[in-house]
Amino acid sequence: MKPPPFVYHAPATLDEALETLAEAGPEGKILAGGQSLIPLLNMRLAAPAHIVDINRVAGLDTLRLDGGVTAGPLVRHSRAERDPGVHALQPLLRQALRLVAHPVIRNRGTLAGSVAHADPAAEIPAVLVLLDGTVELVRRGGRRTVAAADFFTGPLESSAEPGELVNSVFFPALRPGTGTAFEEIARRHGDFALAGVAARVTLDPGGHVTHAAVTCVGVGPVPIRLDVTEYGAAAPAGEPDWRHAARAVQAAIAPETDIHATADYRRHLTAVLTGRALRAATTRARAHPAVPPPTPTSRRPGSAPPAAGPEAALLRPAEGPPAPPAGAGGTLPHAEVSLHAGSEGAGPGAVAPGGTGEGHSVVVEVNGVVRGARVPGRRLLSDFLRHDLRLTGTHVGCEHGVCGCCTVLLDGEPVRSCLTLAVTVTGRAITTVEGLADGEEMSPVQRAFAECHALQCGFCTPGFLCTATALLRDNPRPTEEEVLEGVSGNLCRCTGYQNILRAVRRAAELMAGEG
Amino acid sequence: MFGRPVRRKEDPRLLTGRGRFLDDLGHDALAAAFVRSPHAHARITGIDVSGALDVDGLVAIYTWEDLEGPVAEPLPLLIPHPELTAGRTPYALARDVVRHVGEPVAMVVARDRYLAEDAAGLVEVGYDPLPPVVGVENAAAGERLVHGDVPGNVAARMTQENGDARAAIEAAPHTLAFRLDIERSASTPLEGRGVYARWDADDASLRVYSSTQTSTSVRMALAAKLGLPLPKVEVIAPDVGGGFGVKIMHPWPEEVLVPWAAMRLGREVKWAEDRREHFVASAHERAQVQYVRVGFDDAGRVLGLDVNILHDNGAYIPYGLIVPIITSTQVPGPYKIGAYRVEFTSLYTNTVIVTPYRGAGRPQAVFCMERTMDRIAAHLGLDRAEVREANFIRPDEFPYDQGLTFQDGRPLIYDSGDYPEALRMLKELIGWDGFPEVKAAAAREGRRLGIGLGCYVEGTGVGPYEGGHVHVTTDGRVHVSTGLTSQGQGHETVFAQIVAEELGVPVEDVTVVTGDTRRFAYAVGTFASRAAVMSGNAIALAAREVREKALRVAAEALEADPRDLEIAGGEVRVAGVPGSGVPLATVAVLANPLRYAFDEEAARATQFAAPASPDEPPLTGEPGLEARGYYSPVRSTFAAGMHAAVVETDQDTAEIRVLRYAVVHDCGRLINPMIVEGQIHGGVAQGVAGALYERMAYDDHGQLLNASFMDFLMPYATEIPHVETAHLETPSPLNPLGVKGAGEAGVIPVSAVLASAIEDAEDLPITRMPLSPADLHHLRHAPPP
Ligand SMILES: Cc1cc2nc3c(=O)[nH]c(=O)nc-3n(C[C@H](O)[C@H](O)[C@H](O)COP(=O)(O)OP(=O)(O)OC[C@H]3O[C@@H](n4cnc5c(N)ncnc54)[C@H](O)[C@@H]3O)c2cc1C
Ligand code: FES
Ligand code: FES
Repeated sequence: MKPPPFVYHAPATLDEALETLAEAGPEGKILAGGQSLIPLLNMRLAAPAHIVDINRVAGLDTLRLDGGVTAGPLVRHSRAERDPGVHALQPLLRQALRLVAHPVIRNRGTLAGSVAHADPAAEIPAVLVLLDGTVELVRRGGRRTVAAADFFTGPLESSAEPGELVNSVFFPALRPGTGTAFEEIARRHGDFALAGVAARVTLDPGGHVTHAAVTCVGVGPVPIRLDVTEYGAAAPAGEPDWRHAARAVQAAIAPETDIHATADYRRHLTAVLTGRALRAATTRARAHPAVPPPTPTSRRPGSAPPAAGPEAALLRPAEGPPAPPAGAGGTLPHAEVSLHAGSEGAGPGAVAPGGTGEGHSVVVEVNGVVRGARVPGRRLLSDFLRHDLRLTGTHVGCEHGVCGCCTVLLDGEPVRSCLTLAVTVTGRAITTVEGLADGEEMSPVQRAFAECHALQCGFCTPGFLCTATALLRDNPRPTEEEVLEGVSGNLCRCTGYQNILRAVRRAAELMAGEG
Repeated sequence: MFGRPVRRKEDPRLLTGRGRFLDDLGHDALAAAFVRSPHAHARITGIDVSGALDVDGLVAIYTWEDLEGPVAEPLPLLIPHPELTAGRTPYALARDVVRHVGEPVAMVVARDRYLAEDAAGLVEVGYDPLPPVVGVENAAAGERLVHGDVPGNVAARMTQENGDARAAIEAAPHTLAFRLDIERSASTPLEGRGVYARWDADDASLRVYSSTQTSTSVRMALAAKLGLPLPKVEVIAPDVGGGFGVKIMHPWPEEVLVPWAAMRLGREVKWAEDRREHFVASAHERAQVQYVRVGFDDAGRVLGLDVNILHDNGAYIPYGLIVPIITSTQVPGPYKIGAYRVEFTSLYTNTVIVTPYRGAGRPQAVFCMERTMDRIAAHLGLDRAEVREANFIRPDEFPYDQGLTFQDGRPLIYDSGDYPEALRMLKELIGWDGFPEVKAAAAREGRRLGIGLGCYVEGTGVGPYEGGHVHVTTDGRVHVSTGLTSQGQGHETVFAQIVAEELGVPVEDVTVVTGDTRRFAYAVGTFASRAAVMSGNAIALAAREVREKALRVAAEALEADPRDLEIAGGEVRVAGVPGSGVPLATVAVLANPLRYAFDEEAARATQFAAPASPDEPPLTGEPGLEARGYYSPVRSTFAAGMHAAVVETDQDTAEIRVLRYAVVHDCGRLINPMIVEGQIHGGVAQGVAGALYERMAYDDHGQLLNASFMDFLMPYATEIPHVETAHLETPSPLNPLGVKGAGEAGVIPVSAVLASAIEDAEDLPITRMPLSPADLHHLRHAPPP
């Protein structure tokens, strides 16, 4: 499972990217996070003649908080998920992002990529549609903005034309008196949903429903949005009964049967989830009342309050930045977030990729040592590490992003090396399992794995070690749930995970010097 | 050492990225890729390679036409059986007809795997599609044939009977009849298969690395296929990233073709299977339809049991009838069945071949028996545990003869066990008796809970034999080798523990090599939970021989009676007198009389160093402090266990969550409890996977619809319950160490246990596994039968 040959382009500017895209036409594909595109390439389900890697284009990672969240093409899921400003402005994003794949996938995947990919089971398109968001498309010599409702045209199909790039995605801010929720059922945690429902409910100060809508995923060719205001508005204040809404939604969708679920079951689930999501959104709407907010102040990310979960936001609404007044987009405070993380060009020994032909010079700092090789554009980072640099500790178990065996740290963040082109990350720092120990002294995570018998065949182990190392660096005292979530994107066929979970907790103890 | 949770010797290398898995070797080797059939059943009308010839880096493309001699013949039928009258095996590359999606049609060799895949994609194969046979019932209908010369698609039909089951059922006060369905699943190790071959033309010798569960047999198969003298072939299993059964199958087409191409090309060639290939071109297991009839008395005692099994063996049957034989003989489990009759029909379908997957037919057997027990309990309104209790073989009834012939061709006689005690422990562990209150309390909160249990007996440690070699070198270190292989079971540690115990040396001084025919050429392989029993005992016997030799040699040096000596702390000494003896290292030196001294130690063994009796030969027996031991059991040893689970089913979404999972396990004496627990955790996880998540979804055309980890739902940590374990030890009287196998135990009863628990929660009969939320939803809303 290796990508087919293609001509690789790594433009440095947006203009250059658009120029290349214009020339490539339908034969060109944009590479952003690669978390959807590279699995398709590896399985040879897609074979574009040209790959235009935008990871090196400066300025595409802008995240603007201005009447809503405006995400440039390189705003990664994980960043939008963690950003407290984003959460305060539009909590539905974090609610949805936590359901998108696994944390490691979200470290690479982009909001714009999710939208452009237009998977009908994906969460972000549903969020965009529910919020009446917009998509800004640019092409050589042109620019247009498309309403979310018009953007998605079919499964994996959108109104973006060849040569067009999603330059930004705009998610309008949460309005006062509004609550949101995202509920879904997936077979495994992190899988695409069998069915999912995003809901938005607005209450007037008296607690009456003034607006309610849902968007369903996984049950049609595109995210399906339905207005259910009438079912809530009929109810007395504070007591909307959403059962009729659920039934109406169930009647309005026409899902399909596949190997995971029948159409009937999907319809049933959508009704259940509609009820759950509307109830949760109503509760949140009540906690986010439509009273005039305190005076808005401009805020830079440095001064942001600590990240707050949806519950925290619910309990302490005043701590987040104020919500903009309804319909007052133009007069809103402007908070442009400056960006350090995520730009691919920086780092030790940065080397521009060798133009468009075969044979690109890739230089990376691996485990503290600068190493390089000339490789074809399609060489996967996993193969580059294993076969070009002969660091075979990183393993390959699926080459489509699911097993996690290939997880390495890219500038400290865990990523799937099988879903990353080597040439994309030239100039950056990589840590593999070989780099976790301090000389002959194993790291606390490695020692804990041995102590807790957290490995049998050892094939999955390098991926778990890298994932756990980053997890404990960012969160030295994780709860059991955080440990579980942290390693939930890695498969192990041998251990049943019990000892792996124990080992991660044990590693935290060892790192805290309690061992 | 024996019985202690010694930390694993294999871990430091695996934790630091220094393991050596198949694809970690041979960086400069050429890469192989395969053109595989996209059709489940088709006649090949032509193969056009011209489009691929321009691929830069292409070295060779082979089709069946290019094969010669035994390589061009069908692959071997590994385990012949008198009832297997229509055994069919594939060619290494398809000849004329393809019989499943994924069957190899052409082999491409190129500079790297990217280029090999490019070229493979450009080979054009013409196919004339034939009607596919998918599903065991379609196969049994026999309207379409997988092999034109196998009528009814029947590879074999086999019956075993102990007593007159049908008459017993007729005469019984109560009878029940029902059907059970178990779907396909697969071992799915995270490392796929892989082969790397080096041909030394000057030496006319071949070295093959294979990610296999049996290197010794791969070696013999390759020597036969490639026409090489056995001493010129070496096969090594490097670190193997999981096996779970699928890697016991051999020689795979690729396993023959890669070395064959290496010889032809005079170049190193490697093939590392990718995930998609693993789904469509390795092996699956489990799929069966079972028709059960049972007669029982008022106490729930089974008077007669008649089971008819349709077993899906896939497109070919190279591994023989092992899986259905195990199913048929392990149905009785821990119970005394009045009279038992079992018949299976092993049927060809146009799907991937079926070979053992951890449990190897036992999960199906236990599903059958335990669903039957629950049905009986429900029918009589009895407690499910009580019905099992009423049927148990009692502890004083061992050895117990089930009156059947097991997979090793030997009588099915249980060696030891204590089933009532295991059940008592299990009920206590899970809180069986108090569960009705728990369930009622949950119901008051609007939650639906259920409890279930399942019991099994597992024949482990099947023969014919394994061997072990123990060698104390002159530095005092102990080198152990055995021919069977390791895929994560911790053999390096467990076998070192056994030797450390026998020789009285620290476990750190013992190193173990498995699966390397250069070190040990006689072996069977790792499967059927047999490693600890077979190699463990063989190594123990070898170590005991080394020990005797050490005592003899040391006795001479110390001028003592060997019977007064012991080995402890790495020296041979007068029993109980530390410091009185000679280091084991020195004994090793003395055990090999020398003429030439290459170091100071060696000088001690030269002919003028020690005054030896001039009338005795300098060497008695064999030189060196080493010995080989073999262990060959009369028959299998029978481990047992009982599992229980508490599940919660969501009233609205039909999601199924396992809240608690309890295991009582008896594998005789425990060598390393930490490792045994790990085996159980992993087995239970695979069991949960098979019960709730994993299946091979074939459509009517024989296309595997979920040939990826996106859609084959191997569970993550978030889906697997915490496992609570308790151990019972009834040592096996059959072998010196008193051990029984543990490798498969965890997986065996899980489907049965979860079915039992879901049935309890839902009050709906559960007759199929796996069960998805969608399945449960439809069961809830199915019209009453
Ligand atoms: C194991 C796994 C599980 C997953 N589970 C989920 C899930 O549960 N829910 C979910 O929503 N997603 C899931 N995903 C997909 C993941 O979220 C993707 O990252 C995301 O959908 C695409 O973002 P990307 O930046 O990686 O896009 P890429 O893979 O780089 O690109 C995807 C497509 O969009 C195009 N594209 C990308 N950026 C632009 C742009 N700026 N302008 C125009 N076209 C562009 C590309 O050309 C390509 O066609 C999963 C992925 C994996 C590997
Ligand atoms: S996730 Fe990269 S190999 Fe499986
Ligand atoms: S230890 Fe074998 S896959 Fe995890």
